[in-house]
Amino acid sequence: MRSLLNKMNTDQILKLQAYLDNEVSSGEARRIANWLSRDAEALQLFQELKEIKAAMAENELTVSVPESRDFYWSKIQRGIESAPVARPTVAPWWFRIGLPFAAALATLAVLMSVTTFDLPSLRLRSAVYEIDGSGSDDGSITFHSQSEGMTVVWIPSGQY
Amino acid sequence: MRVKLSVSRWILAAVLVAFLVLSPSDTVAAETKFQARLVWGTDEMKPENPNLKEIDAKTKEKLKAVFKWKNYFEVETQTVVVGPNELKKVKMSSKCEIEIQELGKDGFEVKLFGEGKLTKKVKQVFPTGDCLVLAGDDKNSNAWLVMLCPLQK
Repeated sequence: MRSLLNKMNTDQILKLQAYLDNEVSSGEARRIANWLSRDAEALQLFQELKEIKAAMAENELTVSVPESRDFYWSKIQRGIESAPVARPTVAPWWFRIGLPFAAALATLAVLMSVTTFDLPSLRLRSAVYEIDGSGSDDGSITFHSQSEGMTVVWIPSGQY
Repeated sequence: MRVKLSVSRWILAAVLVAFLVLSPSDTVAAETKFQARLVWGTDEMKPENPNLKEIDAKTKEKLKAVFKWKNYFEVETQTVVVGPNELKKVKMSSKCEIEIQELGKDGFEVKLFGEGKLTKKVKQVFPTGDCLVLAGDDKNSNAWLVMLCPLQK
């Protein structure tokens, strides 16, 4: 067989194998059949390939499953169903509400600590929680600065 | 039952102690010593009036933390002692005068007079170390401030 394989190119060998496995079209099968009827070496190779195929098919080892088909596949199914399902973790409600609220408060505290806003002729640097500002009927403004330890009464122009 | 009674007793005791500690005292108020200062706030580096001296650094920093002006100069400083139910008048300048009336547990009433006219009346309880500042605009974008600070005994 080796000598036959050496004489033929790969394409021809593949065509013979495909013809043997009924994997060629009807037209190609007729051309190969004509070729085999004219080429004795090709025919010999074809016959040897045919015998090898038969031998392999007949002598294939059978693998036996120690249990019935239904039981075997039901075991696989049970294994899939019993596998732990990954559940998404949900943070506790107080965390989900408290964290954004705390972040907003912290941001507000930072902003207020560096924010200046203008009242007439005043620039206040105290944080908003320090200021207990109140206006009075005469237009004066009273506020208390906790950090500086002073109560300021601002009297607008025209009042004095 | 015995345990419950002892716990409530402790709680009641704690509430009573807190009430006694936090409630204002009914005893007669002692004299209070104040420092009254008339201050000029400005962005000018040096005032035209040579009699004005720059305020102390600590007070300056406090004022700068609240007000926008860069410099603060002392126009007048006086120390005044106000006894229980007493009224004291303090002349800060030719145009500015304050009155301090002790009101017992209600604190003090401070009146500000500008050119003889009542400008502002304020009731104030002075927490330890806290000052009362009466302030307003002055000409040329400056400011005047009357600082009334209780002095530690």
